[in-house]
Amino acid sequence: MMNNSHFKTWIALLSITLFSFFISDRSAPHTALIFLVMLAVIKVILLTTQYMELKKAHVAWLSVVIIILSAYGIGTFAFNW
Amino acid sequence: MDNKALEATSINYRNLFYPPGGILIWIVIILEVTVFGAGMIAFSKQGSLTPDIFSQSRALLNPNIGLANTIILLTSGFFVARSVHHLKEGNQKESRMTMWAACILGFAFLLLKGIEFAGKANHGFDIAYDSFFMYYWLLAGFHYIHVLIGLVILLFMLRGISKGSYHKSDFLDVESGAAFWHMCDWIWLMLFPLLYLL
Repeated sequence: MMNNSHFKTWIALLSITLFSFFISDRSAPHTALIFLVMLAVIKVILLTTQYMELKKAHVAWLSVVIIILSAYGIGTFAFNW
Repeated sequence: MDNKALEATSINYRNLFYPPGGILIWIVIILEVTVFGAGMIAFSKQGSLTPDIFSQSRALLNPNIGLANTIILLTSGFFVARSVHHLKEGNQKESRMTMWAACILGFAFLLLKGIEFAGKANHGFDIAYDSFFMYYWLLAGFHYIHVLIGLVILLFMLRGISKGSYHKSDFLDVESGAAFWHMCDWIWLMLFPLLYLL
């Protein structure tokens, strides 16, 4: 029986990827930047919680993931704005 | 039941020292992603210093190839997650088939990326071309090596699943290998918008 969580995650990841792709050159640069970074962060959180099963792990691990993603997001914003 | 099997059936993922896949692989993952993340921040900083170079060189990349590779890698990750799930459920055949699918897609990623690399090299856009391509080759190149290593790991896991070495009571190695593969996906999800979409 298909695990719905995995399948839903896959659909979400593909959808977000396609959306990111299409807005990347159809939006003003700053708008695209905000969307692209936020959507990348959302995708990584989906990947780590669902596929890497961090949702089952001690909260410290997901916290580290969020710290890394925050650094990525802040760095990308800061230098691309 | 041997120690490994006992460990697999009684693992508590909520324990700080027992995240899914094991603490060693997660230390590796955090270190790898941190290093790649630092590289990506350096890439963004360089882009802010030479925006024209980055804009012109980024336009030389084909975002459709980047998109295709993203879809391939995400789908491969889906199959790896399914394979681990099936193994834990005792569905050996389904675990093997989904791991096969993951391996085929992993190979497809390497093939497509290799074609992209060859195209760039043939047109003279090598690591010394400009600052954008220096970062492109370093970041995408090191990611490629990680995917290659990950594919070798997946193939070893596939072999173990096929032979019955890995099963419902002994899946820890497969979980670790899967975590490494998902890490490759993680890095690509951060890299793809920076290289192709911004």
